[in-house]
Amino acid sequence: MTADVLAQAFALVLDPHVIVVVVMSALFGLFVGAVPGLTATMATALLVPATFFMPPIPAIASMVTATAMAIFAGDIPSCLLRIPGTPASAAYTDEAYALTRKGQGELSLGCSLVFSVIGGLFGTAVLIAAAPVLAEFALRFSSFEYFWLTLVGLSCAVFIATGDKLKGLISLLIGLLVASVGLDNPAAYPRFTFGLTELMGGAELIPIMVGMFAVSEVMRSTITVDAPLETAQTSIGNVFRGMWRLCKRYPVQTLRGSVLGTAVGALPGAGADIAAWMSYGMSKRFSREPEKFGTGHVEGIVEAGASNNSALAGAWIPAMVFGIPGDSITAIVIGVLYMKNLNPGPTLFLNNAPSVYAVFLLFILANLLLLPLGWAAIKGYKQILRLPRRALLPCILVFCILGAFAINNSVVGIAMMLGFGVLAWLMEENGFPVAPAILGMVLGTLLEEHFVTSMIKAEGRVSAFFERPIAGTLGVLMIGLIVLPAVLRLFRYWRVRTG
Amino acid sequence: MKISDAILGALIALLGAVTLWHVRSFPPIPGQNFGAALFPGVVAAGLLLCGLLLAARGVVTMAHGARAVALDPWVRNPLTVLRFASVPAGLLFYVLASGVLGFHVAAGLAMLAWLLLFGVRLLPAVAMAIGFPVLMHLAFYKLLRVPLPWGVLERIVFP
Amino acid sequence: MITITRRHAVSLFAGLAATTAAGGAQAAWPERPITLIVPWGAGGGTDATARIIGSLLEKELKQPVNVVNRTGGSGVVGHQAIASAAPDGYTIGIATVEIGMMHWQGLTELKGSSYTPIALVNADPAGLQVRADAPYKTAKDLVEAIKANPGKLKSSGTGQGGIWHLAIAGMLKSLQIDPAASPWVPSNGAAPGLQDLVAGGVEIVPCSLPEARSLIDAGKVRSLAIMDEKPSALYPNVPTLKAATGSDWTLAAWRGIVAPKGLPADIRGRLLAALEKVHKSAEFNDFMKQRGYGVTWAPADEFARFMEKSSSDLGAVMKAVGIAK
Repeated sequence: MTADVLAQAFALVLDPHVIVVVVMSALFGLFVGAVPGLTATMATALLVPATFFMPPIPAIASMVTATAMAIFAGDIPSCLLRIPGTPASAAYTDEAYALTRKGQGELSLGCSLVFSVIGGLFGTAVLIAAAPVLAEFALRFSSFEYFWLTLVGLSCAVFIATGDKLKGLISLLIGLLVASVGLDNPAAYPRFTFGLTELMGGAELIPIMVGMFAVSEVMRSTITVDAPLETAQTSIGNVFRGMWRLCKRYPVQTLRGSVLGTAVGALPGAGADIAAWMSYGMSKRFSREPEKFGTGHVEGIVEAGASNNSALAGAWIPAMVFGIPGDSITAIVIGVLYMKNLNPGPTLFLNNAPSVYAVFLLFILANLLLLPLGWAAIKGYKQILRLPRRALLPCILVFCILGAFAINNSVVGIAMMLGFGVLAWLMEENGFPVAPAILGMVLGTLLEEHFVTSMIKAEGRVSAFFERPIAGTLGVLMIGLIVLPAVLRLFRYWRVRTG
Repeated sequence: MKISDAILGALIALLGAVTLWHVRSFPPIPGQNFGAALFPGVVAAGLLLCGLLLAARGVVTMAHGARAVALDPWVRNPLTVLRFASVPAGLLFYVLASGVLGFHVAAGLAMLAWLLLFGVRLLPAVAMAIGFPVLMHLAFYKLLRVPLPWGVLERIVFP
Repeated sequence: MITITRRHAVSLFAGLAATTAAGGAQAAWPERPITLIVPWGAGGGTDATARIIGSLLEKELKQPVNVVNRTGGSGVVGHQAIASAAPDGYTIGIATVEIGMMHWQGLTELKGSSYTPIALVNADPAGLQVRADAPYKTAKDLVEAIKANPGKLKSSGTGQGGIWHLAIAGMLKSLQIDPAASPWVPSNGAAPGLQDLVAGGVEIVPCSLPEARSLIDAGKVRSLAIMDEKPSALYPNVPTLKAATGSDWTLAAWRGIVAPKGLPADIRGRLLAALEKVHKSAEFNDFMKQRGYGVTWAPADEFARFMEKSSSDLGAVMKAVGIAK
C-alpha cells in the first residue's frame, strides 16, 4: 500500500456526499436493528434500490454502515425488553436481560456497544491485513469441514443450557425437529407440512425467536402487571462507565471472540449469528466462573458481542476476494459491487486499490461512528422504559406482530410467533431452557445439509469425514475436546452413583 | 403451571415415537439408500430416548409425593387469568382478522383490549390504541415499505 | 396516515358510497403502491432483476413499487403468493423457470397458465464449469470421463431436482449416457455449489456463467461449454455445447413478470407498456450487462406460449431422470 493509494482512498471517503450518506444509513441501520424481527440483512436489501442511483463509494458506504449499526442495535431491545432485535443477539439475550433485571442495564448495554466496536475494528484489521490469504483458506472448506464445524456449534448447547442438562437436550432436539420442517432439505421432499404451502418454506426463524423470547416474557409479565416496577430497570446511567476496567479484566475473552467471529464470518455460509452462539458457548466453557453465566454476568456478552460484529467484516473476506458471499448480507453486497463495476476478485485489489482501501476506511469510520450514535440510540430507546408496564406491554405486542409479519409479509409468521410463544412459556414454566431450541433451529438445516451431501460425495464411507486435512483435524478436535470429556464425566457420575 | 416430568416425558416420548413412525414414509434420495427420513428420524429417536429418561425420573419424584399438575396461586384470581389469556387471544384475533380489518383497525382493537385489561384508563387507552398503530404505520409502511394490509380502510384511503 | 385521512376526510363518505361500483377504481390505476413479489431470497439474481425493474417501474408509473421477498420451499411459497393475490394490478411478481418444474414433482398445482403473463425479461443459459486445475480441457473430455467412470464425477449447484440438476441430466441424456452417471449433490444455490467445486468436494457445477463469473475471473474455475445456441456476450470464447460435443441440448433459467390470473385487460396493457419502456431503458440494459445477465423479451401471449414449451421440455427431462411423479 503506497501513500498515494491511501491518499486517494481518503479523498474518496472524506467527500461530503459520502459523509452524509454514512450518517443517514447509520441512523437507518440503528432503527432497523432495534426493531425486533428486522435483521441486518433486511436493512441491506432495503438499501439496494437507493444504491442504484449512487456512485460506487457512497453505495458501499451505506451498506457497511447500516449493517454495523444494525447488528449492535439488535442488542438494545434484547437487553431492555428480552426481544432480540436480530438473530445475532439471541445467543446472549437472556444474559443481557438478567443484567437489566439486576439493575445493571447500563453495564450490559455499554458492554455490547464497546465490545461491538472492538470486534468490528479487529475484523476490519484482519480484512485489511490478510484478506487474500484467509480467503484461500476459506475456499478449502467443503461439506465435510462444515459438518464438523456445525457439530462444534451444536455442542455449545451443552454450555449454553443452564440448569437441567436433560431438559436442555430435549429443548435442542425440539429445535432440530422444527428445523426439519419444509421442502428445503437435501432430498427436496416436503416434510411435516400438513398440506400447507406456507410450511413448505419451513419454520421461519425470526417469528419463532420473537415468540419464544418476547411473547412468552409478556405472558409472564401480565401476571405481575399491577406490582410496582422493581425487577425491570427504569433508568440507564452512563453506559461507558467501567468499560476500561472490563477491557483489562477480559482481554483474552475479547481477543478470542474477535478471532472466532472473524474466522466464522469469513467462512461462506456461516455468519454473525452462529459466531455469537459459538463465542458465548466458548466463553462459558473456558470461564473461571462458569456458574455465574445466565445470572447476569458480562463475560459472555463481552466475548459474543465482539464476535458478532467482527463476523461482519470477516464475511467481506471471501466476498471481495472471490465473489463468494460470507453471509446473507455480503450476498447482496456482491451484486452491488458488480453493478458499480467493482467486480470482486483478486484483481480488484490490483486494479481498484483506492476503492478497496476506501472500503477499509469506511469500515473503520462506521465502527468509530458506532460509539456516539450507539450511545444516542441507547439514550433514546431507554425512554420507553419510562412507560408504565401496563401501557408498555401492548406496545411490545404490536411491535412483535410487525416484526413477525415483516420478515415474509405473511400472517403465518404471526401465527408461528403465537404458537411458539405459548410453547416457550410452558417450557420455561417447567424448567426447559429456550436458548438451545433456537440454536437447534439455527444449525439444524446446516447440519443435515452438510451431513447428507458429504455422505453422497463419500458414497457412504464414514471414514471420508476424517480424510481431508482440515476436516480430520476438526473431527479429532471435536471428539477429543467435547465428546470424550462428556463420556468421561458420565462414566464418573455412574461410578459415584453405583459405588 | 408446573406439570410433572413424568407426564411431560411421556408426551415428548410420544412425539418422538409418532415422528419416527411418520418419517418411514419419506422417500430416499435417488441413487442413495438414505434420504429425507434420516435427519428427522435421528432427532425423533433422540426425543423418544430423552422423553423416556425424563419420564422415569419424574415417576421417581412423584413417588416421593410430587403432584402431577401444580397450579400457581395466580390462577385463583379471575382478572389475572383474563389478562394472561388475553395475550394469546389478542394475537389470535389479529391473525384471523387482520386480512379483513387491516393492520390499523385490528392492531388498534387488540391494543385497546389489552390496555383496558391491564388497567389503563379509558381515555389514554383510546389515544394510545389510535396513536401507536399510526406511528407504526409511518415507520413500517412509509419508511420500511412493509406492505401492511389496509383492509376496510382501503376504500376510504384510496377512494 | 394522519395527513392522508385529513386530506380525505371530506371524501370519506363519498368514498364509502362509491364502493358499490367495483370497477370504478381501475380507471386511475395505479393510484397506490404496487407490491412486486420475488419467490427467492435477497442477494440472488432474481432479487436483483426484480429490484432494478421495480425501481424503474416506480419512475414510469409514478407510484412506489415495493419489492417483497417471499422465500422458501424452493420457490413454491412465493409463486403461490403471487397467484393467490387479488388481480387488481397492485400485486405483481417475478416468475422463474421453476414454475414449469414444480408441478411435475407434485409440489403444487401452479403452472404458467395460473398467471396473467406480462413479459419475459431475462434468460441465462446453463454453463458447464469445472475446477481450473481439472484434467478435462474440453466438454468432450469431461463427457468421456463421466462415461468411463459412472458415479465418480459428482455435480452440484442447486437442490435435488433444481434447474441446474436438470441441465446436466438433460445433457447426459441427450448424449445417450445415464443421467445417474454424474450423481447430484444438492446445494443451497450456485454459490455454495461453486465453493464446494473449488474446495474439491464436487467436480462439475452446471450453473449459469454470470453466477460463476467471479471465480472464473479469479482463475479458480473454468467453463467448458454453454448450453445455448450461441456463445454468450460475457465469455465469447466459451463454445456452445453443440460445437463442443455435438449435443443439441440447450437449457436456460428465465425470469418474467407475471400478475395473478384474471388481471383486467386495460391494466395489463398499461403494465406491459410501462414494462416495455423499462426494458428498453439504458438503465436496465446497463444494469443487466454489468451483472452479466442475458436480456430477452417476449410480451404477453408470446410469454404464455414460451412458459408452456418450457414446462413440457423440462417435464420430459424430469421424467427421464425420475424426479417427476
